[in-house]
Amino acid sequence: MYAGNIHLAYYGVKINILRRLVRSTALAPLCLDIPMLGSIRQQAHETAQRATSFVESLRLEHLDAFWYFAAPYLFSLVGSFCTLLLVTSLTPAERDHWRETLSSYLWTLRVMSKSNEPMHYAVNRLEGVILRGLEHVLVVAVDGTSPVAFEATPGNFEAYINGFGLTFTETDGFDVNFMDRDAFDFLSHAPHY
Amino acid sequence: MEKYTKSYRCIDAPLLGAVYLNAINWWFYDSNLSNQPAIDVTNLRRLTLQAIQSSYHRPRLSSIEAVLLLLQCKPEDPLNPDHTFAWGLTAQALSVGEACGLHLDASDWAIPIWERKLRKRLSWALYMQDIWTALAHGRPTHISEDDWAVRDLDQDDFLERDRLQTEGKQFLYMVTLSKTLYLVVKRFYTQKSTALQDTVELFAVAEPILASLDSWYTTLPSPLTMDHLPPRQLYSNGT
Repeated sequence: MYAGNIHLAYYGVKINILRRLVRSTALAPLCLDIPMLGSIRQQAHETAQRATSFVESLRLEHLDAFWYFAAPYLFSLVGSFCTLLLVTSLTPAERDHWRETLSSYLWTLRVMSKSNEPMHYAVNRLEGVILRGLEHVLVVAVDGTSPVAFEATPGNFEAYINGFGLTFTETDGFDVNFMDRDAFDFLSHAPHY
Repeated sequence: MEKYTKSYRCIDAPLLGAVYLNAINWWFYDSNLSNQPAIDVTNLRRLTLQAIQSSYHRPRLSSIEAVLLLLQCKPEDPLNPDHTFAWGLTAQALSVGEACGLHLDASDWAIPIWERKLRKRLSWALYMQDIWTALAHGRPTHISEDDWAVRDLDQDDFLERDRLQTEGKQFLYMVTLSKTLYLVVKRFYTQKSTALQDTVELFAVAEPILASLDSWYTTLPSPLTMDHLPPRQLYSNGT
């Protein structure tokens, strides 16, 4: 078994902890501990950055090696985590950064997917749910006193991925209308956490 | 592996099938096979599954080896995998494994040493299969801490062969990581714990786990670090 599996698995475990934390910052009860919020954000940034870099650094001989059964899910998870960071961005600059990272990650997956089935699964999955705007739909009630300044006017802010300027014109023969929704039980359960 | 060199007939059918199903991914890397048409994978998969489940009436350790290998290989429809079936197979494997005593501590049993080691490795392989599948599919894990008496692995539990050195280490480290994952699933992803959205409380639970994860990562030995390139020979078998 190729050692890349260990690193991918490590990022998987770490991301699963961090995404619970990040998501909780966008949901009630409101967290007022600013240093804590900063620490969470920073760890999330670092982890997402390292995970995407890891995947992007893989070479052909790595792609062809043995990837264990959870690899498709883990490659998807990295992308899913990036979209979570995107929709919870605190500034336009941050948002642009995650949009760029996500696009680059998806592109990498798409290019490598010809040699790697788990990546093929991940990119189809991610592009599919993102296209339908399902990925990380967060309805956040923003009021004037909130120290967490999501980029919105007070009221209800519906943060979904297509609202952040990410559009996919290329679906690579992947017809959204005929997708089997039942197959997508990974990420469609994720937003509940 | 020694059995196989004598004759393929020495290997139990379910295990043989599962190994072939995994190896088929690298059919074209073999100079003898690459210019021949690949075998009928659908049929092989059906036969292997049938053989595995038949063996469950009087299960052997090789039945569990086989089903674990089967669960590694590329799904029939990789873009629309049958997660429900896979999770069902996993839970079944765990249950049958329990019937074989794989959740117990076999270190004092009157069995040969090689079997004691094999049992330990298989037990932990089952544990990993359950927890990672539960995480990936969003299902409850079926492992209960109170009912898992298997001792931790160490280097002695692996065969003394140079080729397996790195793979043994990988397995070992994967197991320790999976134990942390078990904790993560229990603390953050059970039906009860997903209701918690208070960042301060979550952070308190997360901090020690994150710290131990990071310190685990720094202990990865050199063959497993990212700067270590795999040799030109591809790894064509799962461990």
